[in-house]
Amino acid sequence: MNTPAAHDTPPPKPPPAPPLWQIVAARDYEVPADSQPATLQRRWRSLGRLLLGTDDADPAQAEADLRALPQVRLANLAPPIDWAPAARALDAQESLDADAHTPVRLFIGQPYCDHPAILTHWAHARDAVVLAPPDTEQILCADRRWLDELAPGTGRPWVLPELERCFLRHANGLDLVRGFLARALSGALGPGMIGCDSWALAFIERISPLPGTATLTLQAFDGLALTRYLMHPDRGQVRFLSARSGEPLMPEDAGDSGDDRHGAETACPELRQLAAHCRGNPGLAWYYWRQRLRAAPEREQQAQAGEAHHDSPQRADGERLAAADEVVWVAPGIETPTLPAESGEDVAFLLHALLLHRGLESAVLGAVLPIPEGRLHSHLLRLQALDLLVREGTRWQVAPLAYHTVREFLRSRSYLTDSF
Amino acid sequence: MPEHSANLARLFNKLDRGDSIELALILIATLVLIRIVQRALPWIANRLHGRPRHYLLASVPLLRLLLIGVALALMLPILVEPSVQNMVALLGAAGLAIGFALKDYVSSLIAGVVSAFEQPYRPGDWIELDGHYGEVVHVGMRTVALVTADDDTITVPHLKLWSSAVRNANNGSPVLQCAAVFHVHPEHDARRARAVLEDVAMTSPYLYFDAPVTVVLQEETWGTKYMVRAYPVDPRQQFRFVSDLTVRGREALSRIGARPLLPQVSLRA
Repeated sequence: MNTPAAHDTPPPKPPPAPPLWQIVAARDYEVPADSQPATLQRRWRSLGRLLLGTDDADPAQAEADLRALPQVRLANLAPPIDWAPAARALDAQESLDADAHTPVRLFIGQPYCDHPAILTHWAHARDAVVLAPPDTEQILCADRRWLDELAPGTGRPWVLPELERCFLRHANGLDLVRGFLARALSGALGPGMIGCDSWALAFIERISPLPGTATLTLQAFDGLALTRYLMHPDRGQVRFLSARSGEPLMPEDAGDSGDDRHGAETACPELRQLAAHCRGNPGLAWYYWRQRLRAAPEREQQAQAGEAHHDSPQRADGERLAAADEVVWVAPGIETPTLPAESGEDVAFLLHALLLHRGLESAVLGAVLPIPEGRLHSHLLRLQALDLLVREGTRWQVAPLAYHTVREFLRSRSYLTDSF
Repeated sequence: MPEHSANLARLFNKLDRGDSIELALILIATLVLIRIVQRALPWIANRLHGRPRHYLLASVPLLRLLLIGVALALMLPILVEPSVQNMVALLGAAGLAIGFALKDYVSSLIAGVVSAFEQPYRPGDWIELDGHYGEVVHVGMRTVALVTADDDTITVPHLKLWSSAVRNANNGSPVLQCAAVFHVHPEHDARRARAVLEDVAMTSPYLYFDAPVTVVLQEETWGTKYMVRAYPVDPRQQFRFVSDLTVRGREALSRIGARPLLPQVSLRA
């Protein structure tokens, strides 16, 4: 029974949302899990698709009717991630792992999370010296001049943003990274920060253990964090609707509590699944998100524009457009590239080498793999045609949308994987 | 004599049409199930890797034995009145026939049953048996089939279990150790050579990281013998893994000035 006093009491304010960008010790990284019923439901659906070739779910908006968004609109709705807030969060973590025995901290970045950008921002903020990695020739010749040129501790902090560029998985390619780690961890270079890719770190820890070093990383983005980041009000007056259910991905009242839409307490299943699929990797989730955004069919857009016109004919065009929330549909899923069934050890070696080094040039791939040059080129081109690899400049990388497939492929074959 | 014939007749049940059909159905069902197990499980296993592949392959002989046991348990009460007297008479007669005519054949069958329980080899294991080294691809009731590195299929009767040693390289585990051997002239820096050879193993794309890499050396009268012991990701890669270690190990040793040992040729007539 409600008392009159209870009516007068304002509803309690929801607790403040945790910061979006959190830096944690690597051991505290929590891979987001999808809910058990949702996982079972998804498996059941995929089994149905496999056996019957049909999907039991009736989508609210047929994906074929939806249109791809123009690149300009896509750039507004899903701009490249700005890693500066992550660098600020790193800067704020002064006391983290204060019991570490070395003056050097290691910042681990997952693939597509651009840890060099985070550490470069951090270096600017701290006025730290940025150390450049050695070039390929220096690595393969174990040219110790690179080590000798590193400035000894002057009190100014230093940053090596890409430790994965300091070694090659080659019998001659490990001396410099070992030498650098020995000097840095002994404190000879003074206080500093090393950035390293998670796959490269898994390998480096096997060749040169790093006991007592504080290892930091960006905390996983769960469904709620992805909701807050991907549907931030900065993207404009946009309503993101699920093409599967027709429901808005952000609850209608969630935006009322503040600019940052902290009111959303639970994430929609789509984003929860996306977070679980990407294992909390926001960089990867961003690629998926971009691929899933769709514009409404043309006839619906015209109807929407007509309604806006009837509502307030006296308003200027700009105002009318601003008043009506733009509807952007989020496709239920996208087709990710699959590995050919006959993928043998050559393909596994190639993909593994690319992940361990965060991308390699084809000439260097020939040096680290026991695959003849002609066959290597043919594999690279074939995997590129299958959307499993992309070429960024001269460097080959595993395509972001293929990362999950490739990681599972390597894990199932007992290859060394990262710890995320 | 007529009394003995009468006793023998009582040993076996009189089979009517229903019994015959039931026996035939059990027999056919067992054969079909065995065929399915022998075809389907290896087919699935060869699409898997690591532990799942190994354990699925290893389950084939056990499942087959189980099916045969169930079939016999179902068929015997139809054929024979299961009393102690009858069983003793049946086993005695069978033993006599086996002892004279089918000694080796039955010995192999019994060794097959023993191998299913003791598991000196399972499908997926790499074994050396009777001088042949290869991967066990099939463990039958009477024989075991190996595929060697030369892609030859060798069929060895289980009978060899009674008298020969079986060398099993992975013994039910999905990983096996490989060794690459290097013969080096004694004048070299042994400490550096060990470190270089360890890096050769650590940088091989074949390497399985969850098992140790060790480099051991032994002084011989002619020089120093190094052995790099490491595990490949997949046992089927063992020969390519050793080749990779050998090629890159030789390069690495030559880089640090450790000369390979040349064969000593006698010039004396």
